[in-house]
Amino acid sequence: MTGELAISIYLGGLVLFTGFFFKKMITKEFKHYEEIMEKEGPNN
Amino acid sequence: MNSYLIGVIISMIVYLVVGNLAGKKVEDLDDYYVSGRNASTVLIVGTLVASFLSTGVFMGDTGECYAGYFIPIVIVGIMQACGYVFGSMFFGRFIRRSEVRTVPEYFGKRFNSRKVQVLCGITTVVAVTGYLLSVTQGTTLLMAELTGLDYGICLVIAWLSYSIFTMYSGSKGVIITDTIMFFVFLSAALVAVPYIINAAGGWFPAIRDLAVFDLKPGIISYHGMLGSKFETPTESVVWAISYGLVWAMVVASSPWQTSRYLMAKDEHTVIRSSVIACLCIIAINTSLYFAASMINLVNPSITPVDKNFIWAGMNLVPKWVGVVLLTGIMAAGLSSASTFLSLIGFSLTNDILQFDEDVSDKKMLKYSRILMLICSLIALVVSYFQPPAVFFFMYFAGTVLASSWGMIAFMSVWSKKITKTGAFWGILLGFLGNFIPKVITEVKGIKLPIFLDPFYIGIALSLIGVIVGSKRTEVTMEEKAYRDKLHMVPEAELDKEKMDRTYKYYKILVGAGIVVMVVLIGCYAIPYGKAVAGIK
Repeated sequence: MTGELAISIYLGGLVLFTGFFFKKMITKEFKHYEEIMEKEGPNN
Repeated sequence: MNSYLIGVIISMIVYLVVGNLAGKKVEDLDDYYVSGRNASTVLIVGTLVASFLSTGVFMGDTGECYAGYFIPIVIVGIMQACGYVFGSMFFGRFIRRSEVRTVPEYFGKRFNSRKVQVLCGITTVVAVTGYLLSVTQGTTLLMAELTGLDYGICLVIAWLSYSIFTMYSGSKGVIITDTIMFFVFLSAALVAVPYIINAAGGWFPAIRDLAVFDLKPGIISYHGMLGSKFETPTESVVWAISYGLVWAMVVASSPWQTSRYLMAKDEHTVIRSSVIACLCIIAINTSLYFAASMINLVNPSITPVDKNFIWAGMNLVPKWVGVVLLTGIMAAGLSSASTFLSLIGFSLTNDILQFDEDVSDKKMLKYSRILMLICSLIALVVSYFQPPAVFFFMYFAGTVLASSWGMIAFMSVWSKKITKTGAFWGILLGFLGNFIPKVITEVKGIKLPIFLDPFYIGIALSLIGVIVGSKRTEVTMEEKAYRDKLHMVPEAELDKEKMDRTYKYYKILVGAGIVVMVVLIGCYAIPYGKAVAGIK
């Protein structure tokens, strides 16, 4: 069962990692967007 | 007339009518090539998933699971799905930002080089033609099997049902029919899989029986069956993870995926649709793969193995579910075929052939349609005379563009040092480095070790080409200016409300990660372990 458990954790962990990576990227990117909006005024 | 034939004919009439109605709305080249760049998240998800899933997944991958390699295929499936998110963050949203009509045009503009654009266009046409032949023949074989009609007649029906509306409506029709087809095969999977699981005795009994299945020992173990495809568990896991990476790269950079982002109404749509597409692929593939391995408990001797789902559709589910399932498999093939045909036509007109700049949009539209008609006729003739080689064409075409363009796609956005010469040699060597070994190994029947897979040879040569080519030349002012422009955030993206909504998508991904882990542990690993321990 060890191998099956390891693969299950790996695959779930991969999707989790993708989610947290996405959060990190989007936070950094949107921080940059907000800086531009502060400088130039928001679109909305 | 049997029920399957009626289902197939009705679905094809729907695709034809909807595609042609969409074609009436085509007013200019942007409508034809990129659907007016105003597609919503649902449409982009529909076209992403429909272009990616074809008969290869419904027949090829499920066949592998049925044959005894369930977990290796699940690993590849989930890893490739994650490629959507990485692809959109590092490449997809930038290609949308460039506002080009085709992916080769992006490379041409980024490197200020007509030569690079033409080379990308040629590699697209060669590789995607292979894929088009694969799905055309796959869909035709399936239709012949279901209806009992002659191969030639089925080929003409399949060809008519994707080529007419693709030629007439371009991306405007393809994006809508793709989305309809996506919902058809999504429903097919959702409806048919529970019936198949039920026919196998129910979820937990089926897992228990497969765990100790003597006819295909190890079929749902973490390494799959040993002794033919893989000799050792390590070999199996290494194969699965390396192929997962390869296909994640295909999803992140291939033109039949990234070109879909060109139609999105904004970059937020690109990012959101990549998350949803990732989850759809995980859900559809994993449920199909579980069901395919469970078919063994009812009939372990279906040959060839790639017909396991067709057999299940005809024997394990009520008639109406079978019609939905088999129509869904057909839809998966046709949706990919329409995308591939449009990509070939667009690349020929926009990237390879050079028309006078003063040619009007109307005339260009006419030329595009004529060229697409010629391409589709060639595909029809080749599919008829070439003996069916569905999986050879798919194997050939699947990864060739990822090893040719993959690295260059990401570097074109993130590297300040890559030059047009580096890009040109990287694309050329990556293509040849994958293509030539693939043809040689296939013709001579040679089995290469995993680390010498043509994809890796191609990508290594591509990197060498990029590094050497870029070292020997300087980045020009035009290349620098275009890259700088790529990193300038368009005003339309600076919308707090849209940003807040896009940000929330991380919660969906994290939630899905937890669900995948809990479901796999609770519904697969633990019952599997108990069954194996019980027999010991």
